[in-house]
Amino acid sequence: MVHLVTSDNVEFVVDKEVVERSVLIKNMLEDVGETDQSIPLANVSSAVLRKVIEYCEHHRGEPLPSADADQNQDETRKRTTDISEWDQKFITVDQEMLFEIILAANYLDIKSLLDVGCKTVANMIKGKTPDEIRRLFNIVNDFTPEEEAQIKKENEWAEDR
Amino acid sequence: MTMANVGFLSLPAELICYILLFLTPRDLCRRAIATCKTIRDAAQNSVQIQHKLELFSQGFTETITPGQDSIDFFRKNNRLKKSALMSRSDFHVNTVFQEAVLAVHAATKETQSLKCGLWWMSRKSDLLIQECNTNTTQTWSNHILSPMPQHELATVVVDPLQDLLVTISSVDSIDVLDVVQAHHVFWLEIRMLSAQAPHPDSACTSLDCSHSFNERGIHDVMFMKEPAICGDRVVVPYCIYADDGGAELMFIQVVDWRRGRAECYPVGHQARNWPHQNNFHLIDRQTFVVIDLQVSINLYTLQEFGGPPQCRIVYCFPTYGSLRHPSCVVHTTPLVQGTAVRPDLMPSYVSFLESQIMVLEMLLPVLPVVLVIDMAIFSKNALHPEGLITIPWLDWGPQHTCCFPHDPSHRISVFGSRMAYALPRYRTPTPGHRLEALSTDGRFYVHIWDFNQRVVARSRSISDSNSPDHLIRKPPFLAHTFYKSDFSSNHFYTTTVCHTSFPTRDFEGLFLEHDRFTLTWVRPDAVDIQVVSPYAVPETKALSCWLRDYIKLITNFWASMTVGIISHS
Repeated sequence: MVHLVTSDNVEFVVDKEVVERSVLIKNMLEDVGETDQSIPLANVSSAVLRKVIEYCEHHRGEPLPSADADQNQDETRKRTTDISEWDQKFITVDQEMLFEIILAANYLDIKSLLDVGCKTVANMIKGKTPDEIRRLFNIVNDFTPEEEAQIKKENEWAEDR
Repeated sequence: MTMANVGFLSLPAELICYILLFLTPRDLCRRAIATCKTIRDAAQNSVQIQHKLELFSQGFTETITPGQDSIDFFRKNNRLKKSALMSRSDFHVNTVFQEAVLAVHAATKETQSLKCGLWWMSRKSDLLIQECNTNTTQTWSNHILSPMPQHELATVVVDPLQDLLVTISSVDSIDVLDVVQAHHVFWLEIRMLSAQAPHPDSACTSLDCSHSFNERGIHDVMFMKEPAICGDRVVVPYCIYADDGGAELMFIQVVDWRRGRAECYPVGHQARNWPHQNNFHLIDRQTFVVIDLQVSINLYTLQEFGGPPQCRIVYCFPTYGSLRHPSCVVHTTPLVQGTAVRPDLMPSYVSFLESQIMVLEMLLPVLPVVLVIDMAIFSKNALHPEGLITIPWLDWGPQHTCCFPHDPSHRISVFGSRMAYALPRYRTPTPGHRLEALSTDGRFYVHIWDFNQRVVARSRSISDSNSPDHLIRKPPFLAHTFYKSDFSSNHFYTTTVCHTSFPTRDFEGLFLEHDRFTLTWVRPDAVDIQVVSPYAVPETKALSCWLRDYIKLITNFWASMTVGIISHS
């Protein structure tokens, strides 16, 4: 069992097999060896870590993407909507939690979870106008009308097909 | 609802880019980039995103190659920019390879091809192969290529990526005594290209291809062109005609060269006045076209083993009104499919069908023309679920083709949406203007015409500010005496020309590939091969835009580390 302590000082005791889905923790444990000491995770809150562990528990035992899996990265990338049913349900959270999960997955180096999060955001953007995207993510338009016209002109070619 | 304090924009730029890479190019640059400066800057500073957009804009899709580190990305981007140069402005060239391949009696009847940097020429007595990356030369004598007694070598085809060489050896004629029994018509030989040995992935070295005849008597077999290779599939088109002047019918042998299996199917197509008139072309594993200039282009789909090909779309030509028969040469991009045994030859990107062109060199009597066809009309989306549809010329021609006057001495090569065209003049011909033939002892210029509508649109949007040099051309309006309707088009294209001129004496081959083109001259005792690639001239105003991108690319080179690496720092 591995002891993890979150930014808000909550301790989690998790199966080694589960927590090792995080490449960061896996490497850490390999470096330190068997230890009873708890691992501090200063960038992750307890609410987020609970979700992350839920994800890792569910995907326990699945093969970890190896280093050379990058080769197939582009292949899976093409299918943006390709998120499994369980993952889809799992990632149906509010926006703040979604971005927290993405940040945590990036920090903990859990590539499959990072992809689920990022694909979800990409799916939210898909087919929306710039204005709709701004409203969705609370983004302020900081372009001048001239800049806006310039961008539109520069990217006209992408409209085709 | 409480305001989120962690939001999209609070993500680091690397993660924003990681998300943006999941978007389609259209969503990415029409929508996401236009929302705010943070997202725009993140996208503009990402080598991966710029690479993806550049690929898309040029009509390419990435192939999956191992070892994609930042240096690799940089190298690929560099080639891509070079390739883009060919459609954006007039360009100078560097010679990247030059070799005189010594060959006795080089100038005998020959056919030349080039694929993935490997050039080959099939001659009367042997096959000459030159690898332009590593500079190795090979010669195969014809008795190795065609070892079966009483058979003669008909055609040779090479697939460098699969390290494969396929030959066809046939007999003169077949005496059919029994119509029930299948008769042997030709041998298909499968060899390993690099070793002149049996291919390790193939179940056999020689495949007996047989045919069931409908009637007794002497029959001749004629091959329509060299077999087409697409992954593990080889398709051999041929015609059978009876000596007593019976109907000439077209067939294909569909071969799985790995498993050593061949099946013969009739293509429900009558070949009149064969072999000059009909052209076969394999589009992909499941699709091929049969072109008859007097009538139509017929699109067929091919199933897995067990079913004959089905005619799905007939694209009609204008009514042809002459008794003289036209002939045709087809130019397209070579197929790159299947498992690559030689990954070093695998290009890092290939063009997708929707942005490719097929060029028909229509050798009509008196006035030859070239017809440039948008290959989107051969894609799966064009198929009608309920079977055969016939499309009259006016419903597809003006939207999907461009037609130009031509001379058979002007060489053509096609790659993706581009056509390289060897012409006697430096100036781009005015649309519709007929140029003289290449002289036997003068100079010629290589013109690049790009029919990719995205390239045209992008050229147009930057034209007024940055690049006065490149040309967007309106298609010509062309009337031909032998066709009842005119060839008119709504397609625009861009033109550019290579500043360097080349000698016409002994000039034979022109091959366009990615960011380079290859030229060959066949002399009596040797074949000269020259591979050239464009380079940027910084003082040219037209290139300043490109150069700015290039410098940005170098600056961001080290910032292009993957998300995974950032998380550890």
